[in-house]
Amino acid sequence: MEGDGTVLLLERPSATITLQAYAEIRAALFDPNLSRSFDKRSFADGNVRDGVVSISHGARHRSRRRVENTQFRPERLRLYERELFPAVLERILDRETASGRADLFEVGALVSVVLAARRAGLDVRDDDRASQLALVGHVETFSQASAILDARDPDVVRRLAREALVAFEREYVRPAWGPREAAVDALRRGEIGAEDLPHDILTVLLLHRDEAALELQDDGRVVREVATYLQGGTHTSAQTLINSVDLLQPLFERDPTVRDRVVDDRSYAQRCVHETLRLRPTTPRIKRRAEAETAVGGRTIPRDALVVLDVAAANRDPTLFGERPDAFDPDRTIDPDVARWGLSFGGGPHQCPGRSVAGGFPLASSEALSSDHLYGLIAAMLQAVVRRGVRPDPQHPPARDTRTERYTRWASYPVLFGAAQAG
Amino acid sequence: MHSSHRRLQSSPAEEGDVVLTVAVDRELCAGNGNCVRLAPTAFRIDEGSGTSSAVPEGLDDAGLDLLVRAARQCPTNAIRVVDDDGTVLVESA
Repeated sequence: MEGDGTVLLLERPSATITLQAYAEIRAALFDPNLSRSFDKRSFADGNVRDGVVSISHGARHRSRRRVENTQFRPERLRLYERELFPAVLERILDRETASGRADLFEVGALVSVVLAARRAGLDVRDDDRASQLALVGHVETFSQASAILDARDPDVVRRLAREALVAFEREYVRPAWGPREAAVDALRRGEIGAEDLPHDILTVLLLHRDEAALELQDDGRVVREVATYLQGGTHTSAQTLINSVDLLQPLFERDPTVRDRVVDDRSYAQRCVHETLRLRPTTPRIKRRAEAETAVGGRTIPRDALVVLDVAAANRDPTLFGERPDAFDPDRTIDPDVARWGLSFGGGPHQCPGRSVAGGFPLASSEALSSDHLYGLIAAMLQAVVRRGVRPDPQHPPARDTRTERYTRWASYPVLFGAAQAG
Repeated sequence: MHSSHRRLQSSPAEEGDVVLTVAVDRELCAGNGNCVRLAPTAFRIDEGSGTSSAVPEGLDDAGLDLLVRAARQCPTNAIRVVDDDGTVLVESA
């Protein structure tokens, strides 16, 4: 049935096992027998995830990550957070909030997509709104395709993803590919040094694609790899920005000084973001497939079982996060060996490579912040919109994204901007 | 497997000195860099291979607690820490 546009049913698992305990989920994320290749058909046939790093396993996965992780080194993250991002953020927010009303999903996505495009290796000008919006549209489609196992209508998602990939390659990837390939060739001829290369995912893929272990000879796979980083760098940031505002709003209404605290104290803003990620992970239930029989927490998991890791439940474990784990409390005290965001960025080999971009470095309750500390881009976005008085638009209620079972996602979140006290 | 041996002051200090073996399995390492961020004196990334290795002269500055933490937080379980009596403090995969 593959390729003919008809419904592709999920491969039938031998069993479905749901894990909810934090320690068990963490062990499962590290278990080499539990892979993300849980449904090869759903992630092939034109899906943006076909053959990309995030569903690769074992040696190929490690080879790709070694190359791609070079773009997530602390010095690179510092450059983004301290130099590139502030200017882009203010310029786009000035433009998007000028009328006093906006959709926070669009605002967050526009800001995020410009920076994610730079990291991915796409040349998108931060004053070209039409191009940015088109790219956000592609990201939206890629996000649906990446979450196809939770899609209410997988066939529709699959068709949209095929169309989006064609346009994405033509309009964004190919124009960026030529100059980067030329730069790589110049490096090989000794005309430029490695530091003269663009610092982005597309460039490192072109630089290393001759290495057999990376399995990148297919141009389409390079395009999909770039699309994956673009989507990953945009969607979580935009959704978490909305969820942060949504969770903070009741606090603002009870105590208006909380707004000042968010604006004035970036470590508090960062804790707000981490607390949001804990309570509203963008992927509430991570899925894995047992490539071989294994055991987690004393429980036998048969080969070909679908293993559902209920991150949302584990992130509310009272033994780790305190007596009121359901409450939004950025000041909560937790074990320094437990990330404040819980398991929302996953763990093990597939831990989100962009976690430090989005969330900054982990922040323990008692840890003194070093001068090297990074707060993450979402905290900066949160501070910037709160400074501009963001508040829900009472005339236009927000809407959840009903195309997916991932209940933490929003389709729109209309807001007003203005004096911070006006909320 | 790349190993570094170093006499370290254990924590708490009254337990005395221990000799640790810190080893990074380069086949498993995916170059995530968590270890370098947590213990920058004790680990470094070789940009040629994209993998991490232990820095013998930097283990003292990192200290036992941080080395164990870095090993436990390695996403690919590539770091092994063994003390002088052969006790494995953190096992690699």
